[in-house]
Amino acid sequence: MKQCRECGANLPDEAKFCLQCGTATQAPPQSETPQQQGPPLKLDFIQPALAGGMFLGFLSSMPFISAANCLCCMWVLLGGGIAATLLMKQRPGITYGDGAFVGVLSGLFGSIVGTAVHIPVQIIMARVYGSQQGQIEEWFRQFGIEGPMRDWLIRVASGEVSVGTILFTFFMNLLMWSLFAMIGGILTVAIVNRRAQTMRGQTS
Amino acid sequence: MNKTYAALLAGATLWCLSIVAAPMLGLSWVYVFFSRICHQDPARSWSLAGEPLAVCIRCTSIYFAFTASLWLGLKASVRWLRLSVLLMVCEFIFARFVIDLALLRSLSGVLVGLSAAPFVKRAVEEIREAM
Repeated sequence: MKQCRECGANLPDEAKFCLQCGTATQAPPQSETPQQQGPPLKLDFIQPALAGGMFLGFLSSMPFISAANCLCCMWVLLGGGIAATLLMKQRPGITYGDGAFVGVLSGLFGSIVGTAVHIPVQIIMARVYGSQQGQIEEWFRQFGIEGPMRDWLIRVASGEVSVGTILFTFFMNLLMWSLFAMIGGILTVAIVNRRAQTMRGQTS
Repeated sequence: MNKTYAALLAGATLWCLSIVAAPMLGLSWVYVFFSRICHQDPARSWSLAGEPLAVCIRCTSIYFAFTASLWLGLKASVRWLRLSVLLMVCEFIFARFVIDLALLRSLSGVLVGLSAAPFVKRAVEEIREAM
């Protein structure tokens, strides 16, 4: 003899349903993807933002490599995009707002990382430039580096490091990188995240 | 028009006005501000009153098209966004290896600006609703 799990009535061993209340004697099989039926998973914004921030902060502060930011803030957009992509791995179908938020966070982390990397890089560059100024300028002439490119390289190489310049660098990075990383996050969600498009049903 | 949209519109318009105002009013700090996101090469920038704009042709096209898209209230289209980003990448490669034309740089920038703005607008509205 077995008992109904709903009303407690005694049932024959071979019964598949309760004779009193009709409840199945065996529990229904568990869904293969229980998380799809429950409330949506809570997103962890910090780790993706840290990864994106490390990427954009490091590359945007390295001499010469950082020049790619002149192409519409490429490293910063990619950093925001990386953060949004990692966020999408946690839960498909994130909103554009989520992409924007993780982008802003990655810009914030990136500006901290970028400023921290910028200080030693700037000190090393300034020392190298100070000791070999003539040779470096001769090298520019040899390779035909002139005009704005030469001015930019000299500005990068001979920049001073002080509390004022560090604060200026940090706040400029914070403002620009948060903004552009946010746009990178939004556009990545729009381009990559198919589920977000169908959920809204407004995009074509 | 809600406050968030108005703020986004005002910010984008101010951004564009500062690009134009820099050469006209000789605002050197605007050049410094934009130097972090643009090479500002005068040979690759439009000029106004004999001075180059604060950003290059591609950036100017993106920002002005972005602002125009917000003013016009264009609808978001993933297809257009993907196409415009792809075209910009192709144009960039084409410019490096075949021919570098200001018109193509501008055109690809306009397409990206127009198609990106509605998504940014929607994201900003979603953040406002979540707060």
